[in-house]
Amino acid sequence: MAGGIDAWNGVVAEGAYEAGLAYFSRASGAEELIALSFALEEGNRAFYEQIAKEASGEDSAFFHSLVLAEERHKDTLRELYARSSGKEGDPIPPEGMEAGTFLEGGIPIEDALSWAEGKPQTKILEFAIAMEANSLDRYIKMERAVLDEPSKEIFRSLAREEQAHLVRMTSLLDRLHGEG
Amino acid sequence: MGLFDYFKPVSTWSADEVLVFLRDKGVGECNLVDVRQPGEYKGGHLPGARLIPIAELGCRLHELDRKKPTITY
Repeated sequence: MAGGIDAWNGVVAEGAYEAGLAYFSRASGAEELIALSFALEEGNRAFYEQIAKEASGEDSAFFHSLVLAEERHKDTLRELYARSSGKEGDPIPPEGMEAGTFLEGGIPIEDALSWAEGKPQTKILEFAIAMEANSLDRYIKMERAVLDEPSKEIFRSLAREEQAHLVRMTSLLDRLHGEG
Repeated sequence: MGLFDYFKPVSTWSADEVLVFLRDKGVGECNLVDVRQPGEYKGGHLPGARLIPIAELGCRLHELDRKKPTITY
């Protein structure tokens, strides 16, 4: 439901980002999947890095920990790409997509950062939760799309990490709401 | 092949469309799922919505009836 419960209650959301608006759909070769994932992880990393800079205290530390997590994901994908393609270095992003310029669902990072400006941490966290849910969904689909067991295990591992991010993020959201 | 070839838009209903569906067909004809946190759900939720926080959704999908449309918010 577009707009969430605010829309149901007749509240016009302040340009709330419909972050869950696209799901990964195209099954492709392993190299393409890895390259897309790498580009999106860099997008997430860049977004969290900017949010961490503009936050303070524990919130900043939390988003900084996500920056580090995305760096680890990129390292994993770099290794997988080398094994899959025989090429060293960063995976080449899909056409029309420079790594670090888009978030999950194809949201331009500049649009997301512009939206986030001045927003309370709870709203930014809700958006980040939607991004992580999309990442989880993508890795589940990629695990099914690749055929070799070592690649499947890597995508399963990445999916588990995204799930762990979701748990941490929703726990933080509870604390911010005074529930945890 | 561009970036948007990799993503398909999720079918989204407006709040009015959800209201009409629930009024005409009833909440029993769908899986109406609140994916927020328990505190938010307690603070108010759509009538008949069940709570499955998003971090739990993956392992609780079996609770949903696959034959019915699923509406989340």
